[in-house]
Amino acid sequence: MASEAERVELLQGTLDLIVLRALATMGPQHAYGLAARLEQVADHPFPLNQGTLYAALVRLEQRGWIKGSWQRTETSRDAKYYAISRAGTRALNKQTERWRRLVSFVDKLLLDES
Amino acid sequence: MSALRRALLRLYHVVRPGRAERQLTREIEAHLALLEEDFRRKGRSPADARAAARRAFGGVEQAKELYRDARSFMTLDDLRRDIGYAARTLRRTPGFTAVAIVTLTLGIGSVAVIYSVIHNVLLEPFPYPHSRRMVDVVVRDASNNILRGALPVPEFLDYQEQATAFEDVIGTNVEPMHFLTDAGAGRLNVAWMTPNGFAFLGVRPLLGRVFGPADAAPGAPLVAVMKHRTWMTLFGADPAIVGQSITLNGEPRTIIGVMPPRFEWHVADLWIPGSLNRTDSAADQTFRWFQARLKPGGTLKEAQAQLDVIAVRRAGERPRDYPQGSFVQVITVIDWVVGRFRGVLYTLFAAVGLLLLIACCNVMNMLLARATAREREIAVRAALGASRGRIVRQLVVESALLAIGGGIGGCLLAYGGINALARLMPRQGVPWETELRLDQPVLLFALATAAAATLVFGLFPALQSARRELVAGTNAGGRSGTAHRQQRRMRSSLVVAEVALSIVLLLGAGLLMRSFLKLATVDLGIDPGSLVTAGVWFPPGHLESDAERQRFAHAVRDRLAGIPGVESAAVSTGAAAFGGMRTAVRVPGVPLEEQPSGIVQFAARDSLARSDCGSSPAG
Repeated sequence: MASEAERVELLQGTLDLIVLRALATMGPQHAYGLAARLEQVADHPFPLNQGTLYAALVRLEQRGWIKGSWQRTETSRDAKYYAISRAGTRALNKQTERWRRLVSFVDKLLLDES
Repeated sequence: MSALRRALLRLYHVVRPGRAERQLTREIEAHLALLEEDFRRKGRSPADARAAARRAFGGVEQAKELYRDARSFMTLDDLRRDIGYAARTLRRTPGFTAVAIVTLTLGIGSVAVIYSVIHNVLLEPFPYPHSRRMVDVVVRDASNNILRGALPVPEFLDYQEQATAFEDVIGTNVEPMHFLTDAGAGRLNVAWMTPNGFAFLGVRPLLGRVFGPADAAPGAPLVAVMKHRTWMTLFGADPAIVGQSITLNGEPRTIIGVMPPRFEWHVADLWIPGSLNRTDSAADQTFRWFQARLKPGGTLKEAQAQLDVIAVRRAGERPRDYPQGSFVQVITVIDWVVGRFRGVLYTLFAAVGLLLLIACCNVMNMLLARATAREREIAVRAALGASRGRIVRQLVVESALLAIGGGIGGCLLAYGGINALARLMPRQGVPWETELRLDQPVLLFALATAAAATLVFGLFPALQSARRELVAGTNAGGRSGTAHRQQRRMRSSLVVAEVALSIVLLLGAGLLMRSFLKLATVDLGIDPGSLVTAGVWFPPGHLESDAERQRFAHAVRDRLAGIPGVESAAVSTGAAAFGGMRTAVRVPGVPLEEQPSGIVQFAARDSLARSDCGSSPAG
């Protein structure tokens, strides 16, 4: 796990995109599963308290981009599983597009500067 | 679409946070348990695993707080902070706060007073259940004047028996009667009422019982039910009144019950049962007001249509009762009682509404002026990271505090105002059953008014301030031309609107004054300044003959005229300028349009007209 000092502030709005993307590729997940997956994917320790996920989850659910339902885990615990909705998939495509543009813009700026 | 959906859900969660909160707790618990399990599987001890799970999750409360922020618009904590801050801000400027609150108090208070009148006079005046379905049936002539208010019994029964639109019908007529008890004698208004009357009106007695059909059966003991006010004033609220005897026009009756305070049916002192019978010898001379309750779901129109048919049939049989152009009218009891007063009330309501609007404009103007002075503060807050929504919210909370202050003040003002008004209120045009009071609907109304006022006067200045903050923030001088121009324009238009509204109110008040002065100075044809009148009623069995009455009248007149200070005395069947019959008089030889209108009163010299002797005042 990352120590406090290593955790960097996540860009606003990116967490939503990350969660959408993770759900789109992995299928329905509960919050813990998501967090575990994100840690697994990250090369560096993932800069996130797992609790922070919940704000993103409620935002996405209220927008109708994901849908939560209570199910049993394989260790037979109750957990709320989130699945991406069709509107969520559309939004993911749009957001991905925007993210790419933003990244290329920032990259360009940074390269120019150096 | 998704943004709207989110806004609605957030709004919902502001109102109903409970369920989502429980779900969140459950979800986080599950999450922690899964984490813990994982750590244990990796070989940690149970205690260690739990601690590690906590660490990985981060602060549970922080997570919840973040979640709540995202879920709804504001947390209670935020709101509390905003209120505290707003209260401190308002306290720093006590002058501004006091003026704003007093202004709103006047506005909200006056609106609440008049709303109370409208609510208690027009909307819920009667203590009788289903009073909205209660109607009056009267016969009017071609020029819409009342031809017959109370109907003769045969006509009454025709309407009652042939119309199917009514659930129940009640016949009432008030007759002034001479009464005699152990305590003394006098005159009371006694209402004959059909035996179903109390069942129809559905009000339980305060003491004893009410009468029913059995009490009107032939040979049944004679009974009477008393009004609360009469019981209080005439019988000193004697709890042993039930069972006592009262002699009405020579007939002893037993008082069987006393009604509660607001029961004022036909403003009688006593109600006595009387069945209606076509075969009675006096049926044609017995009159009853026809009041009925429409069947549930029935309309005034249906009842009117049915009665029209019956009226046509009756007119065929008795053309003299239905002159050319006369018609039968079904009218709700409330319309019958309130009549044109309804318009007066709504006009008043509009006037105080304008007053409130002016108050709101005033406060809005003050807030805008203050916003200029607070520019720096708001810019600093924005620089410290307060979002625009946050600043608007803060300012609206401030306005809401002012409005709540105004609302509380308004309720106090309304309380005093309603009590004062209840004493001054004319009884004409207002149901006697009306009781002006500051009740729940009025309080709710005042609350809603305060809330609406907050939106009216608070939102715009708040939005303005929040917008300007962006401009001011980019501008080092803190002065931006367009924003200020816009604000100045806004404040000027507010002043214009206020002046316009005030002029409307002033004009209305001026016209009202003029009508009042005109009424106060109307020429009655007599000088009422030094005139004193008094009425005399004869108990039954006394002074029955014309000669006796004339002797009595002469004696009274002569002895009155003999009192030092009395210039002259006269006897008439009705008090001057009021009472008496109205009739059109045509002066021969003068074209109709040139004939002046005026009050003509006929008085027989030195005599009391025969027909009126028993019941009208002689003065």
